[in-house]
Amino acid sequence: MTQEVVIDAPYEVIYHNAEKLEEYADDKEEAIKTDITLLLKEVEQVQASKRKDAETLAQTGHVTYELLWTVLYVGRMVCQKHMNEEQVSIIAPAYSSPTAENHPLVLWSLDYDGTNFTYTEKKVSIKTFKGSKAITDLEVYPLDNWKSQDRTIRKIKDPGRSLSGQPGQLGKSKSCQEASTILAPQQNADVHAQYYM
Amino acid sequence: MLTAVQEVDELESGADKKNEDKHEGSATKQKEENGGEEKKPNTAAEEPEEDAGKKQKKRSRVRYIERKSDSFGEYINKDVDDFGDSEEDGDDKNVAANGKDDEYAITWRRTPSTVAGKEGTRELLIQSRALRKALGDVLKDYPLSFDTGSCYRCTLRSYIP
Repeated sequence: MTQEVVIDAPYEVIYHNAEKLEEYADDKEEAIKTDITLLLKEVEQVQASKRKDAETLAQTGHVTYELLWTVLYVGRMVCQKHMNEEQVSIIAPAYSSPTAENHPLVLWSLDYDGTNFTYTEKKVSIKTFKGSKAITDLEVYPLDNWKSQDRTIRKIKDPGRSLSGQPGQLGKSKSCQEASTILAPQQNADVHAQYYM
Repeated sequence: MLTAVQEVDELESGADKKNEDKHEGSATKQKEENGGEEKKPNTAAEEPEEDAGKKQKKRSRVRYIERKSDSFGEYINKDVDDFGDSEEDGDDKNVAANGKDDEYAITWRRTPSTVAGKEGTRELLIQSRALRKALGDVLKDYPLSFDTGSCYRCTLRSYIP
């Protein structure tokens, strides 16, 4: 018996993985390519106005509650305040869907006590808000939006440092400042690649 | 096991049959309208553009269904041309289990809300096996209905050398 695969609105899983699906289709048979193209086109049509709104808001670093899914998605590295200190986590699949009142998130980070690594899971929720809000004013926001980054200083300080083989770099003790210092854009991409392996 | 190409061929022949059935139905209707005189169906070459357009639409790999509850609380799916048109095109109780699986790539399923003032839902159903496999391969870390999400714990382990 075939299992039904159902994707609920706003279909963010397709929105955030369109490029990966296109890459996947590249070396596949024509029939698969056609189906993937069709899927992406259909979803794009349905999301057209939301995509436009999200892009417009993103230019000024803002987001609305209804469009939180465009900036906070599974696998994204985020900053979050923990005991008055900002720390870095990764968004994991949530246990429930967003409602009109709350946008639930599950955040993962690694905790390193000097000997062992353990996983830390934290459930947070972003409460609804009216109108648009600066992304960096959210309780949880993407590391890419961390406001005080100075890429020039970061490159001089640590030009070729890779996260590979240094798991503690993403540990609970790391602040957003430290993490953004460690993770140059290319290295950030490497982390994503590792996450999806 | 069928290859994707074979599947598409079979699907297309299935779609043709469906279209033929539709044409038979419309031919009967036409016959009635013509006072019992049967009109010869058009060949592909003679087919008017309008009919060709309809055939193209029927051959689409996208399906639109509207789901409603019957008096027993069971869902009934009704095919519609699209969500801008309420023309009914047949009904069935379960999309995946009635042999129509893989005839379409995707299905948009709209369920109107039973609560006044509340919006209904619009779900995307992945119908073709090839597409399901593609999503399964690409979206490993998402909790889709075929993936419980348990795997993301494994992937996070890749941080540890």
